[in-house]
Amino acid sequence: MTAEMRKTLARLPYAEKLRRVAELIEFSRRFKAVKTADKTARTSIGSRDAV
Amino acid sequence: MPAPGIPLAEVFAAANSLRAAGIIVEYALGGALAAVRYTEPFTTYDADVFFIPADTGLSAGIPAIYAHLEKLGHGFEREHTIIRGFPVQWLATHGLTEEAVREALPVEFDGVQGRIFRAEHLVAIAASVGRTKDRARIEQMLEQADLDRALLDAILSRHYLKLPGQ
Repeated sequence: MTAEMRKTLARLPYAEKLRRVAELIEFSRRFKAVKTADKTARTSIGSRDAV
Repeated sequence: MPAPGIPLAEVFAAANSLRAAGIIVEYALGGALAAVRYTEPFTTYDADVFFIPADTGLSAGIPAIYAHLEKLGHGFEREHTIIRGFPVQWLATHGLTEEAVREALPVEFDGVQGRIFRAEHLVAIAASVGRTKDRARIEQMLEQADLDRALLDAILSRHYLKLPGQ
């Protein structure tokens, strides 16, 4: 994203920016959940292989 | 699971209730959520509410704040209160942060009146803390916020602070 685009985002109304912050938080939570699930799956496959 | 959205109106309502009950003298939203008012949106995981305590003892009235918020139906998780699923940290002010609360700007969010730090105070506070993320915030604020440079310089000078690279 260019500096100009970031400045444009900075000029959005506060309520709209907070709505986008909430979206970023939700995206980050989902990403973390997927990563954790993936790690759990790898660990359990690793354990099965070890047996 | 937190409800969607940032419950800023509920956070302001809780702070207004604490002020009306005489538990705090004054408050203002600071930290990342306040910075977003002046910059592009970015992720944060909690709201920082700075308050001037009515109780000037060591606890700064924190137990009374928690008790009051519990009566209002809010929950707790470690150092945070949980307001509609969103973590909120209550931070007692001193020096620069107290000045930032006293000179904060009034805002209205979803029909609820609240107070928010000025951009210049957010920059000065970041300069005083000086972590990597604070230096990044200063850079972002200098680039994106419409700062009153004379006011910022006065605040920095009053608190013996310098911006990174100065």
